[in-house]
Amino acid sequence: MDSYEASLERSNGDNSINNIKLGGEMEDNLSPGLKEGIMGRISIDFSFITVYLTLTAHEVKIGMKSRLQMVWMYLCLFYGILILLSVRDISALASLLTFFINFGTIIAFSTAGSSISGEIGGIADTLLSKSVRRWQYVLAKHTAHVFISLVTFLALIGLEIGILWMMKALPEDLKVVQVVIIISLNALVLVAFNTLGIMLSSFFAKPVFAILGSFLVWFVLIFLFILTPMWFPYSPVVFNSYFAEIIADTWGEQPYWHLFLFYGCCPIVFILMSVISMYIKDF
Amino acid sequence: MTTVIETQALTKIFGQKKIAVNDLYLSVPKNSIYGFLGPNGAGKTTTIKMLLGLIKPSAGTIKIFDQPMRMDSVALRKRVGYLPTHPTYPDKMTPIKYLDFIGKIFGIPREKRIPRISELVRSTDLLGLSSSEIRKFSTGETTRLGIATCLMNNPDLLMMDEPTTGLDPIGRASAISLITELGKDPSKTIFISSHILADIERFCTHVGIVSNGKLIFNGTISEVKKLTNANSIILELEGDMHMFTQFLQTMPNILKHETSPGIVRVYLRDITYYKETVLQLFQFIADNPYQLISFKSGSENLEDAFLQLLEEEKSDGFLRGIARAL
Repeated sequence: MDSYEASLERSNGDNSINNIKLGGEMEDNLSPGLKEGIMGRISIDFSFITVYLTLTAHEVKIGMKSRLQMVWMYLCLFYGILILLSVRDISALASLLTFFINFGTIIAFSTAGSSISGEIGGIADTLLSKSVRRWQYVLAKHTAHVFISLVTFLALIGLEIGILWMMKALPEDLKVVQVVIIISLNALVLVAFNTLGIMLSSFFAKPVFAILGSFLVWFVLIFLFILTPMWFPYSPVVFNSYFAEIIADTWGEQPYWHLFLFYGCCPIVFILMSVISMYIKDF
Repeated sequence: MTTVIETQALTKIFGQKKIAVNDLYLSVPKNSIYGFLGPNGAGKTTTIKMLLGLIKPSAGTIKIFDQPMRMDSVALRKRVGYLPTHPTYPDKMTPIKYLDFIGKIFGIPREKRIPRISELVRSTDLLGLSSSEIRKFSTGETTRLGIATCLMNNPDLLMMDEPTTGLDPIGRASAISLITELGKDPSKTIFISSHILADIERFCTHVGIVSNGKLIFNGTISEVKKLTNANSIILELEGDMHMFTQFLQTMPNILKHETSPGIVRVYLRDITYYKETVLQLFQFIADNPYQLISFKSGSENLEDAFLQLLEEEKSDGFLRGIARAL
């Protein structure tokens, strides 16, 4: 096998690679045409990823520091400890999931609802007048909000499962796949509410309308099922009420993939809609 | 003459209801300080936002550095700095952190970014505030941070939307001195919108006057002054005013004059003989016991010029519209 060495030459700090240099035998063995093609100036601009990641990191920092998010994190921790003090078996996990579905979704759309509309005419203008593309701005918002929400959720769930395991409070025949399924479904619901809030925030000029719109969805999909005995398998309240059956893998009412498809497609649709909305919008 | 900004028939209609910008032909020469002048609601901010690609034009074209400006023209925007009227920033960040974030967005490598931040913080007099959170900043300090932010990428074109609005006299003086300093850099073109005539007169080389979304004048500062009110002279004198007014009545090119204690405003009949008339007046002052305190040509006053152009636009607009339609 021919040995060769390759080196990349970056341009003046703009994250694009200008030249790929080949050396050794490989360079000598190349035909002149191919050599010219490879050795020629190849410009691959990665700056769009850098900008997106910078924006996301910035949004995460801002989001983590927000008062509402801080209060929510402490509240989750407090509630988690409270549950473990009263219940020391797998049903503690069910309580925590219900807590996240009932209240975590509200926090998700409340913080997401003002993320774009609250910045129009201000921070959004400043960023979009610089080297930020609209899709980068929206996508960074989605990623950051989903990240914060999931980190809080998964950290607490992980902590609780860990404590239960250490206390040997988990059933011996616990099916890990079923635990992953129920946690993933709840996580997807949180993601859906985050992306819904951001989508509506990109639609409306005032944050209050985005929050009201999200609240309406929350009311129809969650609150209505807390109050009434109605049955709709796509409501997280309904599928969480079958926690024991799902864990035991005896829930035969609805195939899981239906739920995964529904809650997996919702965020994708919301993200696409918000990106489209940003390209229609005037700032 | 190379132009940095060029618009053709630029129009923006909001929601089929309000014409914010109407058939705007703008041409900003390279290395100029261009004052975009107009009363409140004339369409200045909408124009700037269209130039930056933040608002989509309803019609017309925009070219910045000879390239069309679109929504995602990132490469073009890397050469532009923008200062909004009331800049807002993340409250809990310090100026250094914010400038670092902006530097990262522009893809400026760390070894260049850090010295650049240090230079900007010093030059915008934010050194004492470098560790304070932005939410504690006054309007003037926020504007200074805004100027630092829009200079982060060392842009060739700076767009400032009413940079002195809402500033106290000290903040205003500081902002003006910063802009004047920037204007001395021959590689930069500065586009400033304002409704404060004194500011425009102070540092602009070119001016565009906009009224009701329409450009009613585009040229140099001296051209706008020449265009309007060049038929009047203001003299501040010490001496026998009665004799002076009698002399004015004997001059054929003087249409009328207005006097107030120590000041005479003279209106010329024909602008063609401006130089001869002024010379005659000076000769009379020199030959007689008068003390000339100040002399001002009517055309030196941008405010008068501005108001006159707006008035002309109001009265001629309708007729011009009909003439065009015909």
